[in-house]
Amino acid sequence: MNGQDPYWVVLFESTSAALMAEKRLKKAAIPHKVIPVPRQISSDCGVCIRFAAGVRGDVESALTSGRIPFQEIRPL
Amino acid sequence: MARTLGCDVTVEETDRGTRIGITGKNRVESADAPPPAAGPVVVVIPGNTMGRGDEDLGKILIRSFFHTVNEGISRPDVIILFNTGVLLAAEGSDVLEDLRALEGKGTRILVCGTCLDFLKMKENLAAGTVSNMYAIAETIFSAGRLINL
Repeated sequence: MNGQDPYWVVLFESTSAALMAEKRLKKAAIPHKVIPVPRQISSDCGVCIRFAAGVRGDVESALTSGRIPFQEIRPL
Repeated sequence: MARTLGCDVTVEETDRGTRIGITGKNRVESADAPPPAAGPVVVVIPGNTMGRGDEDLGKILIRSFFHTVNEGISRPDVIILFNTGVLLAAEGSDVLEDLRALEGKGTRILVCGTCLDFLKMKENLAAGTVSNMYAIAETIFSAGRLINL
């Protein structure tokens, strides 16, 4: 992870979608981390994927081309 | 009764009647209250998942746990990994980054050597210190607070 870039997160409707997305990002060698959804975003016990702002385009295109459903991509 | 609870009591006669003042002096502890922790906070992790049940879910939960702990909400003094918990400290583990960061902040990570040997993971250890049951048992019994995940 790039410690200087601000982080972004991608949110999902379900935990299984987050896991599918993780597999896709691993395959595409895009650096990321599965983390709990931050409290300022939701009080639900869910997970999301965090990544550096610099790879935002790569993340979005990897998920879209892999037909992985996601809710939102937003800054952390 | 207020006096028996350690409060200061004042009684004052006024033109409107008797005025009784009660001031809390000492906090009264419940007999059931736990004693304050005197030793280190020790977290024992007996598996590479959090909780029993669905394995995939347990793996997500343990990753979330380590991320959250590493964010500094409350950092344990010692983490003990045993049985398949030792896999968390091996090369390729999804929580390796967090374990190393916790070590960097001062958390001791004790990894069961017998377990590493049994699982043939000795060569793959990437965080923590190989430990034996003497050190593990001693750490558990000297803990001020023991958290079993």
